[in-house]
Amino acid sequence: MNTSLFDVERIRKDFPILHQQVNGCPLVYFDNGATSQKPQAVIDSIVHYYSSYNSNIHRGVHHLSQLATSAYEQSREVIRSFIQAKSADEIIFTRGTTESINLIAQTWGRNYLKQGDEIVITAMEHHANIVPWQMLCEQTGAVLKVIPMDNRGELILEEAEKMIGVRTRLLAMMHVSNALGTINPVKQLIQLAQKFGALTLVDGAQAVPHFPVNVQDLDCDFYVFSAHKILGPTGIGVLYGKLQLLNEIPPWQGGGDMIRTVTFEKTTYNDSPLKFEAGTPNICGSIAMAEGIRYWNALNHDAVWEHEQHLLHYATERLKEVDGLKIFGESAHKVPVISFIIEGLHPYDIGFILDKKGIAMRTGHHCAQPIMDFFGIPGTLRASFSFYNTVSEIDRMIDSIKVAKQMLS
Amino acid sequence: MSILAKELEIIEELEMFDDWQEKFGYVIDHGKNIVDLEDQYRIEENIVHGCQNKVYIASSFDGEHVHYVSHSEAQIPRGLLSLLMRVFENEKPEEILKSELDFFEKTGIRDNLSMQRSNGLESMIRRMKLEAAKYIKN
Repeated sequence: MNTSLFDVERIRKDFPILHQQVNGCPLVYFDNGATSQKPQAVIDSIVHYYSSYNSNIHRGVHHLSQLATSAYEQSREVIRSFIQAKSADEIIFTRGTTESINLIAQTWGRNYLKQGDEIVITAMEHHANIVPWQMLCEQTGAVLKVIPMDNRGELILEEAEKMIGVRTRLLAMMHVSNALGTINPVKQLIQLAQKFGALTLVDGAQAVPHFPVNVQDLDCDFYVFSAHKILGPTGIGVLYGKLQLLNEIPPWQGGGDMIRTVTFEKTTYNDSPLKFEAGTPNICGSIAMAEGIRYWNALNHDAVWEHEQHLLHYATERLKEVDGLKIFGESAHKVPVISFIIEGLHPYDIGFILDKKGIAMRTGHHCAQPIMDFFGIPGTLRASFSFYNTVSEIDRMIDSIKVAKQMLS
Repeated sequence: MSILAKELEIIEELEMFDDWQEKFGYVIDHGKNIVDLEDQYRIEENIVHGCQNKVYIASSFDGEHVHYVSHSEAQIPRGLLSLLMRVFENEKPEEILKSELDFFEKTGIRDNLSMQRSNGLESMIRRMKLEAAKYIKN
């Protein structure tokens, strides 16, 4: 790895939370798939907002309101540029990935789907990209179809080709699997869906923290993600949609800001994005989210990729030293996420001992129960790395797993 | 031996250990005393809700004392269960109900559990007491 391009020790200085002891040991944070840590610049932007220009936006003519409105709308532009959308009007702020998916299900879905229409998802979806569609199917009589995956944790494209057809109205899939790390061939699948005139939605929650995304190149209709997985705060996220579609789709929640005129006889609605942002939005969250994206933009993305792939391969090789350890998700195209079990040992027990050693990792089904059912296991341990993690932290994890194994055997 | 005496016995056994690793080594070893649960007990109504992994608790009554069977997939909860079984097994339901277990606190075991796991332990204790309550005649 070219360390001159990527100085991880310097980067770690930007993340104050990483420099603490947990249970008497230096913290090793390997739960980045659940949420990333925040650089000082993001934390400062929150303090600065509330101590300098907190105000409600869009309707105020006073100084603070203008500052807040301007920062909020600049944040939208930062997000537009981040995913290479055509227009900032295509960027809708939501509470996160889950809300973005529910918004599409309950606006586009409720209004345009009918009995017998098909929604295609994949076998590796997060519950957030399963349950909203199941609810929609119950409401409309549409049918949910699932593209299967193989034992390596890759989608079976021949099956996708058989499944996607004239009845398909929507293909909704994750860009990257949170439980397995697989990077899915979304562009290829989008092109397949487009042949049949189906819309496409990509859940990018686990993709954007690891590599640049260009929604125009993907040509998806909707792209969704959460700020907190890419250096920003919780409770804020994005729905990208092609502008023409967003203007056709009816609004979801009614309230202030989403209207043009209101009378008791008739209300007319604003255009996108305000049409979908009823009520006072998460102003500070949007601003802090953009600050996280600015931090990300300043990194050398090739060097980030190289560093993260090095962590992935190094950890994979070292985990193989542990007898009885089995990794789930062995695609050649992965982000640095490793799900594993150790034969005969329960993930919760190992997770407990790792926590005692100061190592934060996720245990359980990772909100993807169908994947666990597919592999016939109750859950896994998951190490998910970020660019601020190091090889020596991986060594600590391996040593601690060996201690856990000794205690539990 | 009373419930309190059994608690004191456990506290004494754990006193010889200095750190969490040794203490939980003891807990894990203690869990090996639990015999494998027969299939007839592995039913929905015996599942203890509020635990992160699957835990079963069932009981029987010989007219005077309560007897427990239990199971946990994971070893640390199984160890905690076996300690609970040790103090409650073969006790009168009234004694189980009025006991104010504090050996998890006194031994420092409780301090080492995350909030979720501590809640799981609480669910196990509550369930064992509820089982005992079934055998008290009004």
